[in-house]
Amino acid sequence: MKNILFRVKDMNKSFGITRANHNVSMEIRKGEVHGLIGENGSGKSTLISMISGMAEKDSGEMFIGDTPYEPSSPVTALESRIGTVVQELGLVDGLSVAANIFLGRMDRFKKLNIIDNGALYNEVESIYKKWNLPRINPRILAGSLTVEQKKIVELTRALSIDPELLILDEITAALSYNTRKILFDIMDKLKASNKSILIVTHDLEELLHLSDEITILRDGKKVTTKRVEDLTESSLKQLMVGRDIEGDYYRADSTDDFSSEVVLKLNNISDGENFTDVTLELHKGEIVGLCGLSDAGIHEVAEAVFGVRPLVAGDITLTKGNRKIHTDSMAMAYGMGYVPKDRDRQALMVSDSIENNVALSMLDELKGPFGFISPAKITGVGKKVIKDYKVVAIDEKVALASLSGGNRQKVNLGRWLLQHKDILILDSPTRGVDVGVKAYIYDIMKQLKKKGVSILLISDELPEVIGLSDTVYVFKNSKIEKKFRRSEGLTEEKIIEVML
Amino acid sequence: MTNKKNSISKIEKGQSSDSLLFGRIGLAIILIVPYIVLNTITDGKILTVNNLSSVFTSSVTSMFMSWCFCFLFTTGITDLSVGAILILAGNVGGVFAVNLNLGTFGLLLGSILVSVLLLLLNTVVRSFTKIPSWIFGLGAAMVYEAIGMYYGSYMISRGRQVVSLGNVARQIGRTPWNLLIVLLGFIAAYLLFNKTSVGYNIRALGSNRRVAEMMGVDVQKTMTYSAILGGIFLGVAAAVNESYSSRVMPTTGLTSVALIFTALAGFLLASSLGKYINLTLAIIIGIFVITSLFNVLTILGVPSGTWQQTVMGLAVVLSGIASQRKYKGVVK
Repeated sequence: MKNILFRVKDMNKSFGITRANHNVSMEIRKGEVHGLIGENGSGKSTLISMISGMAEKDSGEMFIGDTPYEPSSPVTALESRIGTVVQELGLVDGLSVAANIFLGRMDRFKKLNIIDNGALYNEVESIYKKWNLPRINPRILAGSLTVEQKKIVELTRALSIDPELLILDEITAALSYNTRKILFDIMDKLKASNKSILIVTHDLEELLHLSDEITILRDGKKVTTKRVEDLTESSLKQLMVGRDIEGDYYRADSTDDFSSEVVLKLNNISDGENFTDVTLELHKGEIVGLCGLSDAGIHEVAEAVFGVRPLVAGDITLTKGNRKIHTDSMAMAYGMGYVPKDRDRQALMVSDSIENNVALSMLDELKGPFGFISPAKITGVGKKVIKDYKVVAIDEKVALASLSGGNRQKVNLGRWLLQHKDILILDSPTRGVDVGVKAYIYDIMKQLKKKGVSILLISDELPEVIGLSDTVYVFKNSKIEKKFRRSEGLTEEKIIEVML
Repeated sequence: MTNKKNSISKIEKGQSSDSLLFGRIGLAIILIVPYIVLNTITDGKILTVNNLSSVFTSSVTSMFMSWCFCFLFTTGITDLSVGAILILAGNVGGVFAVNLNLGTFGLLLGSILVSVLLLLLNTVVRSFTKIPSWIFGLGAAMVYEAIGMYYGSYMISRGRQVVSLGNVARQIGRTPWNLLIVLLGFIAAYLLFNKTSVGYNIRALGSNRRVAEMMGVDVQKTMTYSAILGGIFLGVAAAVNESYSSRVMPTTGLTSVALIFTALAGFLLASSLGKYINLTLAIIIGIFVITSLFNVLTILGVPSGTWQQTVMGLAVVLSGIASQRKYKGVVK
């Protein structure tokens, strides 16, 4: 027990008839990284919610060392020096970065009952410095930050307590290559000072690389805990899903293969802020991958191509009919679909039903004989997305909020696939989804390519970009730095060299 | 190395002090130029000490109501009964001042007491019944208007009218005392809204209730504080209104809801200015601008009925549109 920093014993939690955690026990050793993995809906986030005080357990025990631990709120967890960065919580947009970091714990900055903002900002600066975090202006409102910046703020909040246990739930998926490196350095620092980390990530390679020990959950139950030396990627996949998953996620071919017909042209486009002079062509049946460091402009290019980000120079042309894209409604009308990076904020109405989310992008096609939207047709497309894309849901009427991240993404993607679009813009399509859904999405992309659909793939995951793209554009300082053709010799190292 | 610097500088990016300064200068020009133009059009009738003093005096009640909204509406609650509370609280304050011989102290005490109690009552009932705040607010407004009318009818049945201050407690509605009251009100609102844990928690709740809760903000406690603080500012607004008018007649048929529109338009306008100046200070400017608008219309001879109401409606809508441009920039 001496070596154990934290343990949970026989933890149970149910939501209605669903048993999210069923007698889960786990021990985290001092000075180690403990990985937690399982498919979407396996109970990882529930377990983390209970540890971090965001959800009450139904039964079970938790201990810090030998001391019983019963967090009544996230603040009591922080007081016990357990810092958490969760996948989907977010920040209070209307408050400053500094206020978000210390919200609920502002009393320490009081002088005569008045908050000393100078002291608050200084404290935030000292945390950045201590952990070598990228500096985000502590005075700026959180609502003006990017997804990555928000994650950094959440991480700063977790680190502000000098944590004994740092819990990272799917944080790396939101971070660019360079910020990930900073995070890994922080993890090393914590380990060196005998602190522990509990990490959840769907990136198996990353998990095996970072962890010392891994606990696998399936259907709310613990499958096993193993030392990382005893695991491989394929054994981990097998333990997670309970069946063999075919070894090759990505394309088997090693050369580019697409039609010579150009379907989309980006001609010297600039938005005046995030990207400049971007020129590229997308061919029929081609997958074009865009990658780069944080703020290289790749995600903004995706927005511009779909017409939701205005350009200050250049134009975007669909060669079929020589049509210029200026708005999203034009993009949709001319056969384009877009899956944005921030699924829950930019793409989905999470409190609404599956069928309404699907219907929204295709209302014109759902009109009855008198021009009114047909409820039967809405239900029809909802059912079809569930059936065709294997969405795990009771029916098409349930709210998206009740679905796991992977199933939400299937709905998000499925609604475009249902409309047989010619061009798809997929920004981080596998962000926050498990290995099973990931394999499924890759499989769909491969099938679409065969059918002649053109895909613009934007991703922070280099293996994904290399594994699927015919052509890779590497962005640096808001511009295209280099173009690579698909080949056996294309490696992550070569791309990173250009990115840096 | 250069690239890393480049990348990090992008992460650091925020509103620079230069752009903030230019924004403030631009804002000052946008606010001042129309006054100069209108002053010219009206042969110098706008920018006179007497006229500006009159506009300011007419603005004070709305300024305090708007500060009340800072604490109440910011939490995501749209309580439309504040107009009815304003009338009722002013009358009770008047009774404290005149009938109990407590003068200005009684006027403030009675008004604040009633406002705090009624806003607290609204908060408790809303949290138990889970009724949307605007629906509950309309119902509560009818009830509070009716209570005022019962009081009015009772007084009439005894051959009298609702309380009139006469010469008692009239200072706080007039210059220069109202200047002092606004100054004190601003200092209190600024400190409470921006520099206390309660202020942070109120803003957090309004911005993202779930996240705020998860970050340790006690929702019930914060809602209670927002009702108390909002009630105090609303109470002062009621006292100033009573002091300025001497007698405030109870109304029915939800006409009290219209009382909040100047304050609401000013609050929304102030929210849009919040990018450049602090909301609590922007409220003073916003309310003054909206009140000036009516002053100008009156000077230009625009009828006080339909046309001025149309302008008020437009002002609320335009201020609402402007206030949607938020979450950019730094905290002032």
